[in-house]
Amino acid sequence: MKRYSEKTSELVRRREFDRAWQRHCSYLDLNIDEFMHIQKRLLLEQLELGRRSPLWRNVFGDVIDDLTVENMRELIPLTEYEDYEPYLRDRPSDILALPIKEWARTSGLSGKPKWVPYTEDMYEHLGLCTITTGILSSARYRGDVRLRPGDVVASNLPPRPFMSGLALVASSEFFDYHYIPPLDMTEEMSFQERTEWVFRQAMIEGMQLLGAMTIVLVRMGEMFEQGARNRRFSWHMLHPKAIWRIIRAARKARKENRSYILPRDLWTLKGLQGGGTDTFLYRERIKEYWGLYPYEIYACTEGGIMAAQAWGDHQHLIFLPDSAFYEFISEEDWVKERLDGVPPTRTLLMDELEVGKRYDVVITNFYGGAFLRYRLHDLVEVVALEDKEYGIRLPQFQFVGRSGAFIDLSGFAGLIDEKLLLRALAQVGVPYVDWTIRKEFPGKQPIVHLYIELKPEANLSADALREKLHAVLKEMNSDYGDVERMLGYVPLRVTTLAPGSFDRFIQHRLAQGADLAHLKPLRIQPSAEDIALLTGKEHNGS
Amino acid sequence: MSIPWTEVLWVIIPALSAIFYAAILYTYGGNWRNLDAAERWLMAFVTVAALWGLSSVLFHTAPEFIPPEVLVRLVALFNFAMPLTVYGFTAHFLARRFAIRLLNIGIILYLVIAILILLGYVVYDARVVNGVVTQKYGPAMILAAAYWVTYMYGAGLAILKEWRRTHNEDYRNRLAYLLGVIFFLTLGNTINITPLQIYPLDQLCAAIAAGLLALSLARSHVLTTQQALPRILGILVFAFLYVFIISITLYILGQLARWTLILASVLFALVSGVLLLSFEPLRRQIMTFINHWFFEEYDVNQLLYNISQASTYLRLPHVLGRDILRELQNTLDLSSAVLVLKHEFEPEYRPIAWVGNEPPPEDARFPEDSPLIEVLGSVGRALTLEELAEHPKAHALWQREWETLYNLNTRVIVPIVSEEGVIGFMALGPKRSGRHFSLRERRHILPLIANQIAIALTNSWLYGQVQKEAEMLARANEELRELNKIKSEMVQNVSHELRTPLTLIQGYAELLAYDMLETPQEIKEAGEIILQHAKHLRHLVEQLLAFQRLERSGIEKEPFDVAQWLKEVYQAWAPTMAREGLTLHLDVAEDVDGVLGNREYLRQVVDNLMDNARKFSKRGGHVYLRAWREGDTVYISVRDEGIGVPKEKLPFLFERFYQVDGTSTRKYGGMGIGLALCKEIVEQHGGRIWAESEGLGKGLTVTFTLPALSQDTRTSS
Repeated sequence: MKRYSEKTSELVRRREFDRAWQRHCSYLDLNIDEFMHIQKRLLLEQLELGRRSPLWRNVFGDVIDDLTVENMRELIPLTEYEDYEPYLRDRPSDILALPIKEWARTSGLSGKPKWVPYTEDMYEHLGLCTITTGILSSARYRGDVRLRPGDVVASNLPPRPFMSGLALVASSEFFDYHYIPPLDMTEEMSFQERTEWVFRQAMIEGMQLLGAMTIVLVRMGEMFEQGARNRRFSWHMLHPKAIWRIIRAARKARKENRSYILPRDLWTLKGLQGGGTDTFLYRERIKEYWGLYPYEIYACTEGGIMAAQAWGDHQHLIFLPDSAFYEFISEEDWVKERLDGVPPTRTLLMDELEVGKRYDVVITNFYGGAFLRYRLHDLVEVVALEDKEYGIRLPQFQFVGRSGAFIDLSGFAGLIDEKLLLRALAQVGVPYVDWTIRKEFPGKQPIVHLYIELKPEANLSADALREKLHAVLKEMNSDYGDVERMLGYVPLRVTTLAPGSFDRFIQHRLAQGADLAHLKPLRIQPSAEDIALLTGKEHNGS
Repeated sequence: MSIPWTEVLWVIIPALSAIFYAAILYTYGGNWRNLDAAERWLMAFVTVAALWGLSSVLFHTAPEFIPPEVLVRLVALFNFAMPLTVYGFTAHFLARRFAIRLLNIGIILYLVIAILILLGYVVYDARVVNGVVTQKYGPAMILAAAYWVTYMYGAGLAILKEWRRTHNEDYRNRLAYLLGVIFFLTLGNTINITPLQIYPLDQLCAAIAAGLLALSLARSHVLTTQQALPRILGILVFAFLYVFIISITLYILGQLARWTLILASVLFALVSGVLLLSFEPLRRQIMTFINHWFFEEYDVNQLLYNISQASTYLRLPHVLGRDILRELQNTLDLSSAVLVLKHEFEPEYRPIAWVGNEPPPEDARFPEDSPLIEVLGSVGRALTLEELAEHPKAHALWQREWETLYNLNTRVIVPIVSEEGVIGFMALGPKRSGRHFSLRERRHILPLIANQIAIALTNSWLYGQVQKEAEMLARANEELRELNKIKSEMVQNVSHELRTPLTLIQGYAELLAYDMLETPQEIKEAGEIILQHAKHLRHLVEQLLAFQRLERSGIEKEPFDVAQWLKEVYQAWAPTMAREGLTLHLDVAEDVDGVLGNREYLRQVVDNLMDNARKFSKRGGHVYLRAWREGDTVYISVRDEGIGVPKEKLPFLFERFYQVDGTSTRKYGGMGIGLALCKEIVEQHGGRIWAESEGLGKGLTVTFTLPALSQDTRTSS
């Protein structure tokens, strides 16, 4: 049920900026008690809706009839998508207590999609949050609403049914942006086509808000920096507005004694949103290229937009109180889980967190959504419990990365996990003793580094293995292929370990007194110490 | 020396106008970098208008160092920039992409026209002779004029279109200011193509436009035109009409020359106006006319008066609420309105009064801790549903609470706040006219009404409470009277019952004490009578004390076999019954086994019932002692064929001190405490007791129940 009969753009059109701010950003005025009050109250509603949900009945049984805010965490275990998958895979329309408006999709493990239902209220909330992030990304101070109807929003993020696309479509019901590419066309385009269209149209129409993968922003900036020598000529450049834009940009560049123009010379953006988990790596470069720091959001398909930065130079994430019910697994518990396989039993709420600690995020949807105590396997760190400078009395977070046994690259490579590597290695057909893989950042560039001990009969160099494995991974995971194009380099490194490396590792562990479960390093994301143990001084990487 | 009024006015008015615009520019244009496109165009307009005014001043003061043909071209340059800037502001303010594209064309056209102006192809010369301005136009004047008209009217039309499109009163208010500015600028420039161009009327219009603009910028977020304009525009229009009538009259009379005519008109209007408006009823009538004609739908003072009248009389809340809502509905022309108040006993808010076609749904309730109440308490003014949704705490509202608000046909919520906090709210439906609730209504009028309602409701509640307390007092008084009566009867009964044996005891004791009995037999009989009555007395006292014990310390229970126990009762009573000529029958069903209870207390119950049966039965009658089981309940009954009880007295049998025949000449004694004690004992066992009789002479059956012993208790025992 729509709560707002008027679009936010109408408020802006009428110069009611304070109301527009109030509608979207007033959650920043809450204190933690008010935040928790909203959380618990909406959770109570969700639990009542859940009693009428066939999905919850199937997954959890009749225990949902006795759920309260107080006992939910005791009676319901933590859940994964696999718990819901049998009931969601066919996208039935009546699986929830409320009608489903849209189905969003996310890249599942090894290419298998995960479908997530969105009720009308979830969809509306997503649209509102998208406008919220638009306002905050362009605001210079509290109450500063710089968005205007007709602002050009450029996005090359994945279109509907991915959440990023769904968010844009939902936001169009609240604000009269001018989207490039147009929403009805973007879904038919490939990633490449979308990217080209965005920057081509932006040359003519300009752009005020840009949402793109972080790596794309960096790559575009680098291309400009290198003088765009290899860019093809396009007839669109002859458009008078494009010419005028280039002339103005050239003047700006000359003022800064540069022989090349940068994106910030061409466009004066109000807001810039970067998508991807490695945005922190590229902040300064993006600022240099685009004139703004990238605005960060924490979102996922299952939960929508859950946290965002505030205005201006604010750097940390603040959770929205009405996106989902948040629980947090302490770092000790999830480390224990990875080592011992013992699932965590205890979670903390937002008002129980401590500064400096890291937590794994668990969410329960509101507004009749599907997921209850759903683990996102995302790690966040509490940076502060408030921000006095900004006058915000809510906890401040930063996104750390994925906590599960998988890796992604710039949020783009999809998910590389143990299964995918096992399949890939099997397909390559190389005999090996064991392996482990880690995400590393040599020279500030993210790569996945495979450390593998080959069997004597393997007869394959590290380079050759890298080439074959890279080809197989590209075949198995198309997003992984796109990363190479975007990054401009092969994001895979292979180091063949000396024979007996894993044996030595085990011996070392035994000498340390480790039990059988902890004799080998983790297959995904082992620690630096483990890698040092495995490699010793011998390093034969490529 | 005659004052050259024309030249004076030609200088003063544009100077004033320029100062006005410069002040606006200074106030709002200082932070150029932070202005958006619309605001920049607005500042551009203000700049251009100020420069136009200043160049007019220069032209009319005719400084020697600047040739007049240069000055007139400057005036034209800024004059023709004005429609472009107005259009630019409008296009960006309304965010019309097509209009912005036309603006780009307009900029190019203006550059062309500017060049033509500077080259003298639009207006190439002008002179002021005897206060009259004469200009010489070039061939491009038509193009320039067309350009001026196109962009100025284009801006006006765009705003009018927006006016028609929106239903938001506050937005229309802002647009009204802009329309006013465009109107006066257009009027001023139109005058310049009429014979009236010799007067500085275009400058006057520009000054008025500047004033409206300043007012809109300064006040559009605080006051509405409905508040500001009646004081200015209404009076201005009225004054203008007044001056116009006076001027025409004097002109027709041909008494005065033109300039003096106007001056005399103004003076005459001022003096006569002041005199007339000093007459208060006339002034009030004029303002009422202006308010009603231009802006106001209703008389606010009258509405407040009516509400306060409705609130004067002490009535129950729902009656009071209904009357107030009717008043609001009639005055504001509402389609519906609901009054929701805090429930007296339940922790929730419920509708108690409504007007409109349909009553509120049954489930239209809000819990006491609803965020709606919290938000209403914190804002303290009327809110639209949109404004409510925008409050951060309202994010905690449930869907069903929103649905309830929608089901109540709510457009505006008005909190009703007293010292205790939010005691309720009014949910006002839309106005039948389709107009929105104005800012003034939401911020001032409705909260004022709500305050009155709060006071009236508080008084009404107090009144209701007083009424209830009065009723309670009356009931308590009635009960006290009843108790007093019972007490009197009880004292009568108890004293009668106690006095009788005491009298006998005293009598025989005196006989013994004074040696008035002669034979041992007589002495023995006297002793037996004393003993018998002493025992009876003791029994009476113990009955009285038994109640006290029961109330104080309850009953200890243990499982026992009912069948066996009843056999013992039968064996004890059968001879006594036989002596009275009565036959006692025992009938215990086979499935009756154990109960959890206190044997002694329950024995008292059965003994009491048996004694009553004996007392009230005739010789030759039968008394039946029965026990059976139904489910988890054991039933025990004592039936006699004695005098029975009238049916209407059956419900009172188990009340303390109740006697079927309560008179002092009754045949059967007793304090009327026995059956009450039985009831107390049975109820403390978790059972119930009742009596059945077909009436006088038809016997009485008293039955009581006990919970049967459960398997667990049976096992543990």
